[in-house]
Amino acid sequence: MTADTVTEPAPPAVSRTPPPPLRRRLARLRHSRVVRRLLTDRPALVALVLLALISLVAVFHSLLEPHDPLRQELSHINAGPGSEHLLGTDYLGRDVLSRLIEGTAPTLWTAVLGTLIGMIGIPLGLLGGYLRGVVDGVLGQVSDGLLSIPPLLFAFGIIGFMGRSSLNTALAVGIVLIPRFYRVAQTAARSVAEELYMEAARASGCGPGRLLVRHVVPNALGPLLVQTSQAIGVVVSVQAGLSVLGLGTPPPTPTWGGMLSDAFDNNADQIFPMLPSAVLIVVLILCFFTLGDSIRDAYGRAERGKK
Amino acid sequence: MSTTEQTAPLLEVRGLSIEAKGPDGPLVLTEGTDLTIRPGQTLGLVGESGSGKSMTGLAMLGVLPPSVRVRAGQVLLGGTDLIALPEKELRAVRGGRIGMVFQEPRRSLDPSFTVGDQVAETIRAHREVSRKQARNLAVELLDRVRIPDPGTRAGQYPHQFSGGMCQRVMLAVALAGEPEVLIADEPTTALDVTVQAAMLRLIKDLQEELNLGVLLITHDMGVVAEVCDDVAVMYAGQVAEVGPVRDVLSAPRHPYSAALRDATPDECRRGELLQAIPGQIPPPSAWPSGCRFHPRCSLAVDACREAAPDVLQLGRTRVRCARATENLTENSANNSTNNLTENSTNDSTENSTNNSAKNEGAGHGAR
Amino acid sequence: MGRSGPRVAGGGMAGAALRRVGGGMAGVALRRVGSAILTLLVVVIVVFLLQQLVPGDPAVAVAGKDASAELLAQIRHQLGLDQPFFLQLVDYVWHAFTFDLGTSIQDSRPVTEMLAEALPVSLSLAVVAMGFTLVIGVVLGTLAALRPGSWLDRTLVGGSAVALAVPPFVIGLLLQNVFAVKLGWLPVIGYTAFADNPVQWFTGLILPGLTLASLSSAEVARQLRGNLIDTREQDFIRTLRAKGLTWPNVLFKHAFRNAAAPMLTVLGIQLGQVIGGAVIIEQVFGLPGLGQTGVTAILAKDYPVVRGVVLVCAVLVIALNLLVDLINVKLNPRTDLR
Repeated sequence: MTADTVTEPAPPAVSRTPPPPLRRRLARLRHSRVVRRLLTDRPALVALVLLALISLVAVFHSLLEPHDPLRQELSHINAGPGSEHLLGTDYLGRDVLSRLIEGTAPTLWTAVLGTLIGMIGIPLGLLGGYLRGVVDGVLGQVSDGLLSIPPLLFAFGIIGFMGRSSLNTALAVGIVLIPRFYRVAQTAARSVAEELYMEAARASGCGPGRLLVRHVVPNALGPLLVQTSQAIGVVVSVQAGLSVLGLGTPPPTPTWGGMLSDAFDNNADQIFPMLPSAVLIVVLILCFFTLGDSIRDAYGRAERGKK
Repeated sequence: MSTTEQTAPLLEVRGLSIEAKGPDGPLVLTEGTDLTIRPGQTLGLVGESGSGKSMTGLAMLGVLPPSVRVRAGQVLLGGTDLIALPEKELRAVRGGRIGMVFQEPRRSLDPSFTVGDQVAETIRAHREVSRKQARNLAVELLDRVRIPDPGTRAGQYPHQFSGGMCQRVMLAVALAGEPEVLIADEPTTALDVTVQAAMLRLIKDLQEELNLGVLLITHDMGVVAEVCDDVAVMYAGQVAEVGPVRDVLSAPRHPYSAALRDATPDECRRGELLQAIPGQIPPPSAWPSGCRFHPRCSLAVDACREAAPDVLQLGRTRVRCARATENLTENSANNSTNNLTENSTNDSTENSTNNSAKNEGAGHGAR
Repeated sequence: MGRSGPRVAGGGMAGAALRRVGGGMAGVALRRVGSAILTLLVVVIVVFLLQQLVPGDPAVAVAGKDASAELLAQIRHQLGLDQPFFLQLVDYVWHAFTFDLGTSIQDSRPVTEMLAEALPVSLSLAVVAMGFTLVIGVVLGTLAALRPGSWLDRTLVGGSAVALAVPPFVIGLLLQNVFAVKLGWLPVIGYTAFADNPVQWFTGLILPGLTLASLSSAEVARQLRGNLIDTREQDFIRTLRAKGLTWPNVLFKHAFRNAAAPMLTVLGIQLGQVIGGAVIIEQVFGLPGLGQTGVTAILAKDYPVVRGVVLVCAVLVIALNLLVDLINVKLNPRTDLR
């Protein structure tokens, strides 16, 4: 090796890896503290464990199903719970338990996909909050407009035009969520952009992309996590609502919302057939909401602990 | 200025002790407070924040915060003990026989009601008058506390008033029930310096017009020197020294009174260094044994650390200091002469302003 | 001080100009109205754009693949598709602001006429639901705030967190099953117009109303409780006590008045939820309101009607929020400082 090759890359190497800015290190510390707080928060733990279980069921559904979820046993319709069918059968004689297990994956999948689509609002919000001015004005006005349409109704309208399918359900709820994510990201970015250290970073020649990624995003992470967690819950709720309206994922793919709707449409004078799917929907939403609350509390306490 | 002895006491506090709910059992906030307020006179209750002076004021009206209560003692108003009074009768006293003014005038007024409403409401709580009469009386009261254009101002909300004007409104509220006693808890602390003097003068004038007994709670010895007849110096929940202002300021018997005086800019001659009191007032959970002031006292001896001092009557003052009878500091002796002269000049100027103000007040009264 | 009258900006309704409108209640009110109109414009445009979501040719989607060329052309005309895109937009917005939402493809009736039939049903449901929300929310919130930490308080705080997670239609299905199907106390489905029989009108709306109120009343109660407790800790409450007012007077006159403004905002948000939730609850309880009109239209691909339903609901939400805002300006004298 010659001396040249050694000295050449050295200076950029030094300037490229400056010590992480103090704020960032603080943020990282805070996040680890947040994780620790979450793990000592009992409701959050319960929610996490339940969600892990539900995810496992979704992955290993074929191993867990006692019956074929699609097989109709027309001699055995609307049966109550028994040893053969633990949760009974539905109006076509299909095993409810198997259908619930089979429906876990589509339910979760739509929820996650919808939320991911909604997250398009995050970069928009970061830009709006950071750039301010006309961009923020226009985007803000649009998101205000979208927010004034009730979420279920908005999704309902979108499905009305796009047609029923599980992908469209996810798209519809995703579009509904975009302005919500926009708001949260915009607020966070704006409050960070006003901080003094941003001024300093800008003065030291930090480009906007870098500023956003290194300073704004870590600080917006808390509120965004809270929003994400709640958003998934909202998606589950809206998705089930669409099913009850007959606008959800079309049969025969089972989803929890669809099963609730089937039970209501075909067996309305019985309360039991509605319960398993209803309970699961509520539990799933509750898990995400609880998680969201706990994340907010954990961040709140971390902020307070810092002062 | 007037002397203390002639008139019968209006309001007497006897052995008042206050405690707060603490994590490890009750926490004593004040102990054995004795105070006397006479009609037409002003008692200053002075001390650093945390000495328990505000709690004493609140306890007298029975408006302590939920976690704080009176542990022992009496508050006698014309012979009745307010501490033992049932809530219903106490309510007639609050704002009726005793009015109170607080430190933060803007936060002490309800932001959602006009100031006129808030004064009129108090009038109606204590007097049998119609809504309309109360409204007129409220405007009159606002005029009395020298709020210009009171008719219009009565219809405005607190956020449309400056801090000083809010405090005037608070005074109007306090006077709405035609009280005999006015408790003013740091009435000028939150105000601009320029407004403070006017506020004090207003309280003084109203007192003379209405022959009010005033308890002025403050941390400012300068204020005490300016408007009070008597002063009680409070430290760590106890009255350290109480007596006529002139005596206490000219020849403080308690080292803490002396230190407080020397820490006040008004009392310090130009060019001289302002004396700060070393250390901080300890929180109620960490009060030292013996004399509570001893860790900060430059004159403390072993006796001060060992036993709590008795209260001694020396002339017209009562002192809680083991060494009060010794003629202590040259410092205080030196200052006392200065103060005497300063005080007397103060007195004369104040009297003249008072007189002119009184004439003004008489004019208002005649309308 | 602080008495400068509203300086009305020279005619312009644009956001920037409105923001410059001076202080004073009228100025604030004007600004709110202006921003509501802007929001409305955005909503109309969004509702117009919904049609762009239709995969392929909307006319084909409506009429089917085998439709004749004339039929397709007619539907295209009905949907405005025979015009350039920008003109379609301007046309739709203009007509929307003049209460013309096109013609139903299915029924060949003006959309506004169909909406006008369904609106009273949905509004009745919303009114009854908000009535329940207010009564239940205020009573529970006040009781909880009176004794923070009591069992009622803890149940309310915990319960409202759970209530938030229960989709309204689940509650609706359960209530319907228990009170209407099992116990037979109340009608299962159906709607009676108020003019025909006020009592039946109300009994038919009790269950759907309670369903919608279950969630919003929990939220209102929780907010009111928090606001009341916060207000109780304010300095001016001490003044009120020190001037000899009774506790009920302090609480119901002063604390309530100060807690009312933030609670109204919550109520406004809940109104939006109620209107959104009404769509689905109508379906559960068989009420011929906007929701049912919308679902029928979606299944029939009657696009103008779907648009109309979404638009009317959004307009309702915007209008009600504006109303809440204006009441807030009136209630909260400090608004003009913000």
